[in-house]
Amino acid sequence: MSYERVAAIVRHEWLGLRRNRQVLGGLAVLPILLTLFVVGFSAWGSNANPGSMNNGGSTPSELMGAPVTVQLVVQLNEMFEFFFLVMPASYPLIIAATSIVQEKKAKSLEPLLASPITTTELLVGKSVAAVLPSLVMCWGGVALCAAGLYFLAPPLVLAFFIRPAWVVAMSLLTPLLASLAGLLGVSVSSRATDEKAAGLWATLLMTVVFLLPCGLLISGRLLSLWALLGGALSVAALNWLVLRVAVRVFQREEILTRGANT
Amino acid sequence: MIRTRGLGRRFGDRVAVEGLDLHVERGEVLGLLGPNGAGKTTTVRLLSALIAPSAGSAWVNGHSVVEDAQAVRRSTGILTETPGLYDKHTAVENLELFARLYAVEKREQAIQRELERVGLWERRAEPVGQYSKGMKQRLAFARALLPEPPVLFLDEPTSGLDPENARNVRRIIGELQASGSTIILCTHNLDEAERLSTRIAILKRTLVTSGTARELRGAGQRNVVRLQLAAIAEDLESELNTLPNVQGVERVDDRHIEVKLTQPQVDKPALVRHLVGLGVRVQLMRDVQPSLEDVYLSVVEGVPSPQANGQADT
Repeated sequence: MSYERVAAIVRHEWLGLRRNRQVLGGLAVLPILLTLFVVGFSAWGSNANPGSMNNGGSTPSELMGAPVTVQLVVQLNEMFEFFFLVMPASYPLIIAATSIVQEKKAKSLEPLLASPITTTELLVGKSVAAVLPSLVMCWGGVALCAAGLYFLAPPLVLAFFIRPAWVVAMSLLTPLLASLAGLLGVSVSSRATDEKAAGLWATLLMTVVFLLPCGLLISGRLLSLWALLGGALSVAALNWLVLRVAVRVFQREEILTRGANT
Repeated sequence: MIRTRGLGRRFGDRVAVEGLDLHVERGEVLGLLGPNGAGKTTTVRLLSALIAPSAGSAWVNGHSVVEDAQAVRRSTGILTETPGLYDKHTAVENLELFARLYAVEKREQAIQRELERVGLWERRAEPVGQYSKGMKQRLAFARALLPEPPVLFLDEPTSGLDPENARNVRRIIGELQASGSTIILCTHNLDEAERLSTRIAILKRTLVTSGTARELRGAGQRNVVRLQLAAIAEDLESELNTLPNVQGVERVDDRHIEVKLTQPQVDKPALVRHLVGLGVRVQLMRDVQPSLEDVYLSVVEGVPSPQANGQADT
């Protein structure tokens, strides 16, 4: 595999995406909202009247004794963190699912396939191009949240927000989930004949991609580092498998000669 | 440079190309002619390693299209039937992608060279979606030339171009040929094929005939002479039709007739003698050369139509 050719595809896709303000705006909305929620609630909660909230059985031991509003903020932040985790997996699926079907429509795939690029390079390039923007926005949002919490919230809130398990999940699991979504997207796109069909299949597959982070959420804060690393390894293996399948189902000839067959 | 042996391709139970034997030398321009559905596009796709043959074999620039498809793609440039450009990208960005994919050295200079060559350098920063049809065609042509491939496949290169730009494209093709590029030119424009090609191949699912334009016209000789007369009497046609060596007579206009002879070299003096004997003043006589169109139509009409056999448009 030539990384130069993969980079050429990524660069080319990014140039196209950069000019599509609607897509860029759509990618930016959720990270901005989440950042505002996390920082806003944390700042408000840390200064609010503690009120009367009982420490339930699900409260982590580290929070015992903390003001109830801080406990509430931490628990709310966990919910927002889940969105940060799954967000980069949802957008790439939609972007990648239309990437090849659009090329088929514009008939730009034939000159591309006549070039020295291999199917693997093309699919990896398209997938990475779909993943990077949302991943960058997600990580940017998380960094802004951490900065906001550092200045506006008690240290306990920040400590929970950047706890090791969560940092590992964001830096390892999130990109792998996003990459899986991107690969599934390009697989769908290579088989689809129009954008609507690609979009429908992408939505269906999104639920599958979400199963893993949902599982993590259900297991809640009890996630150990080892469990996360194991999960990341499984998703990495899944990525490899999906790439192999995607290359196999990408029928160069059928794409080019569909008209001749009918 | 290009060699095929019994090359064939089926799509399901439909035969697009069969038993194709071609040999194109370095520096040749082969004009590939044929009706719609004759297999021209399929042949180009086979030779550019976009699709695999279902029979036979082919080598391009010394590489097998089956065993070394990647090397074939590296040494070929293709102008497809439709430009297939990225409308939201500029001309430079469109070319930059391909320059990177083909690992073109001195990328920026190469892009400038090709855009200047096709007259688009001044419009390089505009999104291609704003280009006219002809400009898109020129940009797609520039994209095919960018890696300076030894072998070029050009499908209707002057389609949609105004006369000035069509002439420029033809000039570039001439320059490429002079520099040693091997070109396969698919076209329905017979005049263009005749002007640009060193050899012409007429395809109708398989190779029907090939040769230089002169050879093809020679093979299509119809043994017809055209006579310019001072005047044509009413009964002249019927009079000439009675001659044993005349197969047919056709009045072209008030002063010209065409006569089909059995053996022109022998029969022409006898014909002139007969006309003089009838008191007709013969001002000029010349052989009628069939046009490439005449040859093409006679060749194509003599072969069963692919459509009749259920062929798709390939």
